[in-house]
Amino acid sequence: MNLVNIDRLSDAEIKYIAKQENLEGYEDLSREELIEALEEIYDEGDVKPANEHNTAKFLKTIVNTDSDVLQFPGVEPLPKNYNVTEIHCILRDYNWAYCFWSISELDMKKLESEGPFRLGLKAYVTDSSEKPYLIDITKNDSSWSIELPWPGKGYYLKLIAQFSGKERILAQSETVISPDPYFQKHSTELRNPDTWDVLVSPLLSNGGETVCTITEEIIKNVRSL
Amino acid sequence: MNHVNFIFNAHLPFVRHPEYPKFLEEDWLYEAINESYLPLLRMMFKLKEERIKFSLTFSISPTLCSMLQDSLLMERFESYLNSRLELGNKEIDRLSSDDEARKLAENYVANLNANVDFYTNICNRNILSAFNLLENEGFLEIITTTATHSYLPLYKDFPVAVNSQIEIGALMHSRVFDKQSEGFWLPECGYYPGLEELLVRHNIKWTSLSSQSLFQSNEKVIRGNYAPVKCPNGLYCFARDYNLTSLIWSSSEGYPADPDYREFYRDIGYDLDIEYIRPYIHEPDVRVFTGFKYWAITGKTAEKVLYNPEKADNKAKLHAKHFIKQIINTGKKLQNKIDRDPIYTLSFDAELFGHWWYEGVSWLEYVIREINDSQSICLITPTDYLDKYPDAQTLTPAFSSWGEGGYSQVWLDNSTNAWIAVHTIRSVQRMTELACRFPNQSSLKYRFLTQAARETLLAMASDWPFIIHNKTSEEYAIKRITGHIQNVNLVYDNMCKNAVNTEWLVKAEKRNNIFPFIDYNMFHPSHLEEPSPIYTYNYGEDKAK
Repeated sequence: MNLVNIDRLSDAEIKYIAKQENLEGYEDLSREELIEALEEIYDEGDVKPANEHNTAKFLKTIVNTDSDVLQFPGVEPLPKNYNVTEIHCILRDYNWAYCFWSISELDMKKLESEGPFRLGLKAYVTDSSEKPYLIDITKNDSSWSIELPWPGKGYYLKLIAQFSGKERILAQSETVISPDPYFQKHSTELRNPDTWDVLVSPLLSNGGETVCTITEEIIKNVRSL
Repeated sequence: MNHVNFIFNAHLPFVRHPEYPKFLEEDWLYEAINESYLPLLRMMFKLKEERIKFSLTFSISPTLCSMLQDSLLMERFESYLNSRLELGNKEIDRLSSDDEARKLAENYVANLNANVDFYTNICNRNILSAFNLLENEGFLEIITTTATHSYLPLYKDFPVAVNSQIEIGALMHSRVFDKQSEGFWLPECGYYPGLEELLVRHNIKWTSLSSQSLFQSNEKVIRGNYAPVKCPNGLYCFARDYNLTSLIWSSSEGYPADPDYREFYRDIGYDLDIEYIRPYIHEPDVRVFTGFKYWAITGKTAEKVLYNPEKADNKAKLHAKHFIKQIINTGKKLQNKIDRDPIYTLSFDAELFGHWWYEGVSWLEYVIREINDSQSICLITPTDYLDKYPDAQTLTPAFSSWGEGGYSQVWLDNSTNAWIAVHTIRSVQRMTELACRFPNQSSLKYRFLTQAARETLLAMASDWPFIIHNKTSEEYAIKRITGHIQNVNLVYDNMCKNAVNTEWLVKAEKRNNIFPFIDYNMFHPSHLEEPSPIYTYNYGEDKAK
């Protein structure tokens, strides 16, 4: 077995491994002697692990260059799904929110036992007569970008399962509120040169670049009036 | 009077790898100290000696404070300086027959020696003490930021996590500088309405926001960015002046793009023969920036002209004069349009000066000198401005950031890094659950849970998703963020089985040893009802910080 990168470990780590391998007299060995001794232990055909479990653990930290010694012992790969049923919604910008969800194995099994169903995201707008709209999703989906067409409104999502004739809410997200800039509705006020100098000038570079797209939209509105 | 409010954000992510004799990403710290922080400090001390008045604000992040106080990292920094000096002397020999280039190498060696001298004899190997001295003598206001430079709008619905970031930032500042921070730098100027409630809990009086934050409020701003506003709960907010900062910040129009300035990307670490440069780069033959750069930007061409420091210095003087003129012209334009003297908030990453923009430190010095000679411009810190003008329009700013796009697009990019938020939010939820299920533990379980709290804060760092979005040191960033999340998951899984993985704990505590004073119970929701620990911290006591 080739101990790749054992020389990248610190003295303390090498001594720790030697101790775990019950290497006699390890405390009196130099670094080079320790490495040589460990390489002998792991040499093919001469494997005498003190403890099989420990050997597998050390080999993971020494040999596996994919995981590298940036990782600590005992950690597991990141799960694809945290086995909880929940949905979250985060504001990304003024027009979009980022939404992600998961369904626990238990909940998924229960759904599957009840017959054919479709999963969906139902998007609601608070304080509005707008009806919720449905986004069909699959079992493999876990995130979506949600458009926020109306400024100043609150949006939230329900993760639902639809069976024929009925709908079950699996989880509900937080409400995100789409910002509603004053000057998006009152851009005529910016036509006043003094107001422009005070409010808009600090948002434009000398070359005419605007600080962000919403500001650019507002300025375009003003210029088109 | 035109009030100029410079705010410099000095921050680096926590990178510390004791398990390696040398680690590539630790160079970020050494480069920043050698090329930005020490040159900035030397410049400020020189002005102080000449009795030139100035008032600047520096935010020094908790992660940077930790690294600057870490004996292993500072020892490695000294090795880095020695190795650069050795390379510099080799360069002088190599360039012995090329007068112009050799003079450049001699300049670099002189600067390195000046840094060594300042670091050793003025800072006594404690860089933070130099900043502290400047603040105590009235030249600086030093403020804090979140524990791990977390982009807070992502965690808006998790106030315990946001509070933990702010609290650790405030507490770290108290421990390092022995005083409360009045101001707070929001990482990436990331703000959402309601965040101010958590800031004032820790006696923060003011913060700095992105340029569009006031203009895009639901309410009408009266004085634009030329005066701070006050949130309904009393927190003052200063908005960045995009017009003036773009004179420096813009990659297309800004001063740093001038053809006479030094080209950052032409470095001998990449240009010279591998055999020559090998001792100064990373194994195995990973070329890195050495700081020895001999070419001017010249233009959009691969054929660069040799850098001329006198020409560049003259350009920096001209740009300083141009900058001052812009301020005066803006002030004239505003006369009689607002009912008070304007303030221009000019916030930058500190590392722009000296590192990314080599002439930036000189430019800043010339600006300070020009202002010192001016009757119509003064430098002022936000705290001093608020002493002068405590009245402000009450207004809630808008959700915003200074990131590309102006909001959260950089940190929630579907194509590169949005997956991270899924995991970090789960980490925050798990940490809260652990604090609720296992409150007030002691001994090994306390250490285990507290290390999980450290890992949670480290996972919330904005640096890794930023790097992944920009595709720079992607591999390392992915490993780091993955590692921290995995660590939280390990503690969670173990605690659910009433187990403690001691091997993990020993290694994690040794490497991620940041914030020794942290207590995992801060993730319990009831912690939000308690007064901030900055009120009970023992200021003035002599203790190991």
